[in-house]
Amino acid sequence: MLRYVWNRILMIFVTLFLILTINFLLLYLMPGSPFQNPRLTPSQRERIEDKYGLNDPVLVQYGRYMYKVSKLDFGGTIATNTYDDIFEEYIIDRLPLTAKIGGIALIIGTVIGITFGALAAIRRNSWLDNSVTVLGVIGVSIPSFVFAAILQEVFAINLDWLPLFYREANPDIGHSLKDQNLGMIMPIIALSVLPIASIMRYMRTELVEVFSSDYILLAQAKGLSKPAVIFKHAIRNALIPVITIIGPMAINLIAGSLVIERFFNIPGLSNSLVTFTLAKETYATLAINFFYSFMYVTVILIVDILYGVIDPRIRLASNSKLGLIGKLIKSIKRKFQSDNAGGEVNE
Amino acid sequence: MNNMKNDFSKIKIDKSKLKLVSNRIEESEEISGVSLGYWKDSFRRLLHNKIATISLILIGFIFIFSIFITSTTPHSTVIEPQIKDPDTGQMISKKSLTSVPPRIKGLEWLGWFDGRVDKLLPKIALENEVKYPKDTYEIVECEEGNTGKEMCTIDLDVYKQNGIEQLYFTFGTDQLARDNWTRVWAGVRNSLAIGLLAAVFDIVMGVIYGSICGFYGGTKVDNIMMRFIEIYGSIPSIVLLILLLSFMDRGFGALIIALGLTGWIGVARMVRAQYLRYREHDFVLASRTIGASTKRLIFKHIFPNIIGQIVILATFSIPAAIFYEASLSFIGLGLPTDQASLGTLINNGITQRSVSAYLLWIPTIVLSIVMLAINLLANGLRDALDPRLRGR
Amino acid sequence: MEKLLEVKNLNVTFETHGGTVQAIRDVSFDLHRGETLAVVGESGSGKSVMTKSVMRLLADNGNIKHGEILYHYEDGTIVDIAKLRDGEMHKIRGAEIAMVFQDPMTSLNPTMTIGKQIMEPIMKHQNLSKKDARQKAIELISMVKIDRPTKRMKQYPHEFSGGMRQRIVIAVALACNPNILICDEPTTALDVTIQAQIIDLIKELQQQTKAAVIFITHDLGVVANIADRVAVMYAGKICEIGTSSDVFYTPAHPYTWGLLASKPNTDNLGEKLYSIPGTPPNLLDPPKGDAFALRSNYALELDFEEQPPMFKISDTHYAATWLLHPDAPKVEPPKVVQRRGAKKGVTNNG
Repeated sequence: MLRYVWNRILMIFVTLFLILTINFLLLYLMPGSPFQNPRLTPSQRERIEDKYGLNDPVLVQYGRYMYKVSKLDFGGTIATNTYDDIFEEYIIDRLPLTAKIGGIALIIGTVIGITFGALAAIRRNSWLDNSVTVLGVIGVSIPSFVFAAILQEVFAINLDWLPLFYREANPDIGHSLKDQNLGMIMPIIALSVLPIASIMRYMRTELVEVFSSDYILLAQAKGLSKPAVIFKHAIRNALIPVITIIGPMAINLIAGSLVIERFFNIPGLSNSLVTFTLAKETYATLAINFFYSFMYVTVILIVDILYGVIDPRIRLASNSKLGLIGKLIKSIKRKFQSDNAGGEVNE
Repeated sequence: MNNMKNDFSKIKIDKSKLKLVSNRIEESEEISGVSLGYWKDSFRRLLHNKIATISLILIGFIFIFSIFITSTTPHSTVIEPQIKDPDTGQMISKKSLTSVPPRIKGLEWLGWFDGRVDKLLPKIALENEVKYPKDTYEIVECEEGNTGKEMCTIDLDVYKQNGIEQLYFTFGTDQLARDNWTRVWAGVRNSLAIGLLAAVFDIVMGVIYGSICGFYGGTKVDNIMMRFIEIYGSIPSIVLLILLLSFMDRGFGALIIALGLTGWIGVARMVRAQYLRYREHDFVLASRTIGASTKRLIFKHIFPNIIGQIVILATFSIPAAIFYEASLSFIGLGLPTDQASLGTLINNGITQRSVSAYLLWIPTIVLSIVMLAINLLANGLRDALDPRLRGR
Repeated sequence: MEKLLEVKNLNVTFETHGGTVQAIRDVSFDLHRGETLAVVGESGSGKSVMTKSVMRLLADNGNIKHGEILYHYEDGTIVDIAKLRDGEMHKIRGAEIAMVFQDPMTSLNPTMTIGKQIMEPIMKHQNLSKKDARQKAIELISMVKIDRPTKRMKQYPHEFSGGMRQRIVIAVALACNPNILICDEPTTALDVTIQAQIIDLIKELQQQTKAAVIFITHDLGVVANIADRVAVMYAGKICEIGTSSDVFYTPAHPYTWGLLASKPNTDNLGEKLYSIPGTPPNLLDPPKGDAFALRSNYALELDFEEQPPMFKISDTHYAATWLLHPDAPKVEPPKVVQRRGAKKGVTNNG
C-alpha cells in the first residue's frame, strides 16, 4: 500500500512539472503575453524585460522560471505600479478559502450522493428512488449559479436567514467569524448540487448493477441478512467506479467556483482569476492556473489512495518488485489501460 | 410422487383426438417478430420514452422559435433612441421604455404578466404627482423604516406611469430599453449555436484523434498520443478555457475555439477505446480473414458500431458547452455584453435584480428548461442507442 | 429413502414490461437424502428459476404464485420454504441448502479475501469463534484440494484461476455441511479438463458429506456421469422424470427423444445429428396443450388442446405426454433412442 501511495505521489510531481512547462511555453510563445501589452510604457517594458531576462536563450529562461517557481516566486502583477508578489499578495490567503469551500462542497456531495444513491438502489422503484432519479437529472442539468440565485432569493431576500453575500470576518466593521461562516453556507450548497446529483445517479446505477451480480447471489445463498449483504458485499464494490468520478467532479467544482465566487463576492482564487484574466495579467493567471491544477491533482491523489484502499486488485498490482522507474512506467501504462476501460462508461 | 396412480377413468378426453398430426413447426416460426434495423429500432425505442419525446419536441420548438422570433418582433435588439407608436405614429422616448416589466395581452389576470411591479419607496416621493400620478398605483402597506422615514410599498402600473399603455412587452425591457423578449430568443439562438458548433468541433477532433490512436492501438504512436491526452486532460478545462480566452479577443469565434479545444478529449478516448474493443471482436477478425481492406474495416464494420456512442457523447456535450458559455459570459469572459446569450442576460439580470427581477428570472428559467430538455433527450438517446446503459 | 425436499405444484411468474412470464408451471418432484437429481433442459426452460425458488433467491420481479416447497429438517419438522419469513429463510440458506453458481469468475466478491468469504457462513450459522471459523475455513480449502490453504486465506479472487475459484465456491457451499447442495451449471463456464475435475470433486464430496445434490445442466454427458435420477424440463414444466437409466435407455417423452438424438455419442456415429426444429415457446403466453407439440414429430391432435398429465410408467419413471395414454397410437421412438434402449444393462451409461 505504501508503495502504491508513493507511486501516486510521484505521478503527481510529474504532472505538476509538465503543467509548469506548459505554463512556461504559453508565456513564451503566446501572442498577447504581458510584454506586448500596449498599456505598458517603454520604460515599464524595459524594466520587465530586465527583470525577467527576456533576452536570454529559451532554456535559460525555462530554467530560471522553474527555479523561481520552486521558491514559490510566480512573478508580480504588471499593470499596477507596485509589482505585487502574486504568491504573497493573492494566492497565499485566497487558495485556502477556495479550497475550503470547494472541498466542503465535494465532501458533502460525495457523502450525500453516495447515501441517497445507495438508498434509491436499495429501495428500488419506491418514491425515494423516483425522487432521486428526478432530482438527479435536475441537479446535473441546471447550472450551479441558477441554484445560487434561487438560494439567495429564498434564504437571503425573502427569509433573511443568511447574508446575501460572503463577508470576511472583520471586527473593525462588525463582521464576526459567525457572519463569515454563515456567508459560506449558500455558496457551499450551490456548489454541492452538481456533485450530489452526479454521484447519486452514479451510485444508484452501480449499486443496482452490483445487486444483480453473482457474488451478491452467493452472499445471499450463504444465509446472510439483507443489511449484511448490502454493507459487507455490495456497497464496497459499488464504490469503486463511483470514486472514479470524484476527479471529474473536482474539475466541475473549479468551474462552478468561478461563477459562485463572483455571485457571492467571495475573495477567493477563482474571483481573482477572473479579475486577472480580464486585466490580461498573464503571470497571475498562470500562477492561479498552476494552483488550480495543484488542487486538482491533490484530489486525484486522494481519490487514487481511496481507490487502492477499496480495491485490492489495484493495491496488489503495484506491489511487484519493480524499480522506481519501472513502476512509474507501469503505473502510467495502467492509467492508460484504465482509460480504455473507462471509455465504455462515459458519464 | 410415488402415490400418483394412472387412473385413466378420471382423465376425461376426446379419445378421437389421440391421433398423430403432421408437424406444425411453421406456425412456431411465424411467432418470431419482424427484425428492425439498428437505427429504426433505436428511434422506435426513443419514441417509446415519453420524457425523451417531449424533450425532443420541446427542443425542436425552441430551436425553430429562436431562429424566427428575432426577425418577427417589432422592437429590435439594438438600442434605439426612441420608437414609433404603432397606433398614433408618435415617437416614444427611450426613457419611458426602460425597465418596463413584462405584460402580455389577455394574460394580465395571471398576476405575472400584468405590467405591474411592487416598489418600496419613501412616502414623501409619492407626493410628486408628476412622477407618480395617483391613478397608476395602489398602496399595499406603509410602515416606519430603519431611518425613521415612513416607507411605502406600492403596486405600480409601469405602463400607465410611463404613458405607454398601448404597448405590450412580453418579457419586459431592460435598463437600456431593449426588448427582453427579442434578447432572450436571440440569447437562446446564440447559446444553441455555440452548443451545436462546439459539439461538432468535439466530434470531428475527437473522432480523428481517437481513430488514429485506435488504429495504431498499442504502438508507439498511440502511446505518445495518449500520453499527450493524459497531460492535456490533467489541466482543468475551465482553466484552459480562461487561458485561451485571455489571449484571444472576446467573441463568438474565440468562445467556440476555446470550447472545442477542451471538449474533444472525452470523444477521443471513447473512440479509441471502442476501436480497440471492436478490433478484437470476432466479426472484425472474421472479415479480416476473408480479406477485407482496412478502409472497409473502419467504415463498414467499426464505425457503424461506434456511431451510436458518438451521438450520445455529442448530445451530452451540447449542454456542457452551453453551461460553459453561460458561466463564462456570466463572469464576463464569454460574449461581449451587447451580444445576447443566456449567460450575458443572466449576468445583466443579476445587476438589475432589485429593480427588475424578471430580467434575472426569465433567462434563468429559459436556460434551465433548455438544459433540462437537452439532458433528458441525451439520456433518452443513450437508453435507446445503448440499452445496456439504461438508467445510468 | 428419507425425503429431504418435496416440491408440489410449484408455479413461478415474473412480471416484465411485456407481461407476466410463467417461468415455472406446475412443477412437482421429491428429493431424497444422499441422491443426485439432475435437471436438464435447454436455456429458458426454467431449471435455474426452479432452483432459485427453492433458495428463495428470485429476482425482485419474480414470485412464487402457488405451490409448496416442503423442507424436511433432520428432527422431522417440515417447513414450507415458499411461505417462510425472511429471517427463517436466512437460517436455511447456507446451513441446510447451499448453492454453487454457474460462473466462478463472477460469483466471488472481488474485494473480500477468500478466507473471509468462506468464514462468513461458518460464523453466521455455527456460532464458532473467529479462530475456530478460521481453522474450519483452512480445512475446507484443503478439502477442495487447493494447496497452501493458510496462504490462500489472505488472497483475493483475482489471484485465482477459474477452476480454483469454483473450488472455493464449493468450499463456501459446503462450509456448514448442508443437506442439499444445488449446483447451477457449475461447469459450463470452465475448460473441459477442469470440468471433469470439478465434477469428480462434487461427487467425492457428496459421498463424504451425504448431501443430496440437485445438479442443473444442459450437458447430457455430465448427467450420465453424475446423476441417480434425471428430470427433463421444457417450457417451465417437468416433462419426464426418472432414474438415470429410465431416462437414458427407455425415454418416453418426444422431447427427451429429441434431446438424446441430438447428442453425439457412439450410437449415432457417422449419422447426421438430429436437431430439434424451431424454438421454445414464449412463456409470456404459453401454448394451451403440450408446449412441445409444435416442435414434435410425434404430436397428437390432443396435444394442441389439452395439457397431458404425468403418466406413471414405473415406480420411478413418469412422463407427461399423451402418447402414454392406452388409447394413443403406438409410435416408434427415433432409431438412435431405440438402439440405446437395446443396450440397456450391457453398459452402465452411454
